[in-house]
Amino acid sequence: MKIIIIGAGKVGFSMAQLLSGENHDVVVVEQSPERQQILEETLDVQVVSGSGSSTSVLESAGVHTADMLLAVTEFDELNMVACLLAKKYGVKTTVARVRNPEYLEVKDFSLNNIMGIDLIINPERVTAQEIAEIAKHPEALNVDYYADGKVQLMELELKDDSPLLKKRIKDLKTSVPYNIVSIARKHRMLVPSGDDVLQVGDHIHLMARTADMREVEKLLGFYSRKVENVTILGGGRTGYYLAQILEQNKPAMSIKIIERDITRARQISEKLGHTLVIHGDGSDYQLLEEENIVSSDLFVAVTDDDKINLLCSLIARNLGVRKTVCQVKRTDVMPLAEQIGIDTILSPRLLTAGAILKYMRVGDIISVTLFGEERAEMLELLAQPGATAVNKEIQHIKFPSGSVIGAVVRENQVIIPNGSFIIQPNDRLMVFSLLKSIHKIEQLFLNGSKKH
Amino acid sequence: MIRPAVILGNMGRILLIIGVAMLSCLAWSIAYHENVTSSIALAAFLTIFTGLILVYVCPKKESINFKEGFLLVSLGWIVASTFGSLPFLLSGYLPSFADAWFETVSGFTTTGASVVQDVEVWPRGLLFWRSLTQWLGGMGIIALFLAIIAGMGARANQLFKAEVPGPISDKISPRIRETARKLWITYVIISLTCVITLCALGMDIFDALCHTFTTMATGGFSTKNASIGFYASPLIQWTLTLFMFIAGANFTLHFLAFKKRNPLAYLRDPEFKLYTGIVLLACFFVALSLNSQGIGTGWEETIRLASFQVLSIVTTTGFATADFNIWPNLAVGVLFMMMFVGGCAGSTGGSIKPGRYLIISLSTVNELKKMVHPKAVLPLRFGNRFLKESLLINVLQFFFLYMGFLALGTIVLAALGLDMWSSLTAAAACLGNIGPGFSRVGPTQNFAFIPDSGKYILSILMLVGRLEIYPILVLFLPEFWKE
Repeated sequence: MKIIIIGAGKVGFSMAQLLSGENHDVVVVEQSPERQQILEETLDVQVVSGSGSSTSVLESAGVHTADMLLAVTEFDELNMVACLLAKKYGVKTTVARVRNPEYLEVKDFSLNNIMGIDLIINPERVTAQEIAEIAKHPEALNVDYYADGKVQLMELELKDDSPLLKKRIKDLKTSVPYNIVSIARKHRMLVPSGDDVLQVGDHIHLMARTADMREVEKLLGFYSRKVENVTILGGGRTGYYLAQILEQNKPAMSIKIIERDITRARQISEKLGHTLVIHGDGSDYQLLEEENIVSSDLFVAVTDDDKINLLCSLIARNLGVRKTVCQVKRTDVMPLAEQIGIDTILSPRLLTAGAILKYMRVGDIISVTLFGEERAEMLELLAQPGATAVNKEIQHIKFPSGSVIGAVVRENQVIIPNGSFIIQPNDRLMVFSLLKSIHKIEQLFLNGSKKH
Repeated sequence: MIRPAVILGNMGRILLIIGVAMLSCLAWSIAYHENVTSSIALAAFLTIFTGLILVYVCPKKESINFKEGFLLVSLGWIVASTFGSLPFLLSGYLPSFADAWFETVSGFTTTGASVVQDVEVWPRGLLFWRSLTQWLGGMGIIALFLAIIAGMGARANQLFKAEVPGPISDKISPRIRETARKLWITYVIISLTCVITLCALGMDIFDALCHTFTTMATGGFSTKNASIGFYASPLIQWTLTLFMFIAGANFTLHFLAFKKRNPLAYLRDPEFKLYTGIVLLACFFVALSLNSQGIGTGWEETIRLASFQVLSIVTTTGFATADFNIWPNLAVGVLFMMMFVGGCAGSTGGSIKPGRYLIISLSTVNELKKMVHPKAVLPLRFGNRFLKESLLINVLQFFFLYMGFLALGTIVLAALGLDMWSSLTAAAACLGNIGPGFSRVGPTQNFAFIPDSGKYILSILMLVGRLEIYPILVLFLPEFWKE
């Protein structure tokens, strides 16, 4: 597939890296000479200099033959115009990054139908939605949904009092079915077999029916009380969206936003409902004590500044907040941040890349989620009739190492499969796989005729 | 600087409107062959003639400035009241200027306080004029002026805001002239409905017109000595109760509800909700109080008496169907407090307005919250809009000044020999444009016994109350007159 990416910022670079790694032809349009140089030195992509809203630049990037265009510069309008032009040139799929809520919260028409943009991605909103999920499940480090929300995937950390320690995975059966699809141990991602033993500090990815998840968590000793008190540091777009989403929660949560800029504080206080907006500096220890941050169940640091986010999360952690979520834009410091005791580290760039990938894998591969430092993906595959792995028991399929079937959706029913489960044509499979094995796993379930 | 020619020219235009209105009274006088016909004709002639001279001498200027705007509003009301008193003076029914001016100011400001001992012997022409002044003053002389006369420019906004009651005024049209016109048309249509209903219920056309004028304007003048108590029909009393309630609500809402077919506008307005809540609560307590003393035969009459009187006071109309002066303490207490509520912003009612109480309450809640969270940023949410700090200060100052004028009026009346309860309620009734107070100025009494100086003070209080203090008070600022 030929893909044009407009803008080689953080998101654009990640996308270029991921897509060229998957053997797509990637052309990146970028204006800044420094960014161009970085791209040329590190990635196997074509770089075109210029603006994505210029027709001549688009033409020299080969827009006539492109299958897809991703416009991910930081300018909403430029992204929209680039997509609009691409559609006129006959590009099949266009994706635009649009952050201004004014463009998104229109009632009578949407950007999709006036400009033909297929996917509008808003990194701040994606991040906020992710955090809101965590707020709903405070015990989880990450939560994801598949098969229209019927299957839930949860990342959980094993504490030193967990009943699961020192047990083999195959001995952990409960009355409610579930699957452990991966273990992240000391920054390495493993796909476990039944003989693996869980250790303190392991992050496990647990897959179960959404309806059963509470029960599974209880049986495995992960259950914890609900979040009632949330403190959000930073009233930027992410913080504002997050408060907006959390306000809809019932029963009502008590939400506080700490924002340093008084004009912005006034602005969001007028837009939000019962959220309390505090004007002050989040790194001010006294303010955090005065506002009784200790009693928060969840502390979320989403300012624009990674350093402040990390520092304040640490302070909050130190004051005794139950759970801290911290946004970090630089992905290279993510493992470091987890080491110092912050519960969840989120990278808007990874989340955005994940959301775009999920959309790109249209066809038989239904959705994609990135884990950790881009090491593994969660795929939704449709088992095609005639594919090699169809009509076989799972234990007899030659799975590539590092992949596992977490759940199967058959005729709207979710099944958590065991080894003797037989895969039938048109089953939807939730497959967890390390990046290197993705192509092999796809070949197992596709009918061969599909180009990829 | 203030240009006399601009002020005088516009005064002339206001006088023309007043003069033409007087001619309509002449029609009644002629129709009933009354001996006051010539006096009314003379009054109308003098008013129109003065107006014409002023308009002719002072040609129209392109625009007026900020100071002229305030002066135009305040002076407009004073001049209108002065010329409006001519029919009373010239006919000899109110020979003293203090009496005639008091009665006219009371009319234009829709107060309804009267110095007339026996209205039933008055000729129809004069009674009609007395009611008409209230109707004109209800929606506003300046609003009428703006609706009729074009070309006030950007300053029209200031003129309109200076006259329309309440802390926040909505523009229902991009142009003030169109806004004023639409409000006046709404006012006329609701008034027509009221006249037709009253006629259908058996009131004769003259009384129906007069009572409609004073109900829609929340004025309170009646053509009967016993006020609405004269009409024994419960239906008439209920009708007037309903129309008082309508007149006490924001006319912008009426416009939106009927013209734009959007009745939800009422429910979305926080002030209207508060107004309705206050009315219902007050009715409940007054009815409870009346019931405990066995006033009214049957629950229907008790509720009718209570709700009529509550609405009459809340909307600052001032009609009476009973002598509430001798009602039980709880009822008197509630009614007295209702004197400080008033109709909604943008209504024809006077007094402090529920909207101001709402703004003060909201900011009080915010202040309390700030004691717990000193650094919290708390918006002042009023319905679906947000209020600026400056508006809050304006409202608080208004409250302070209102109480200041109330104290001043009370003390002056007390100095003139009135007892405390009478002075307090008389001052409150005039400042709030209500009409009757309690005790010696109660519903069965009138203001005739008050000395002339007291009448002048009360008249000024009525103007201060109608124009909501600032446009009058600014005239007393020395800087206002400096160039």
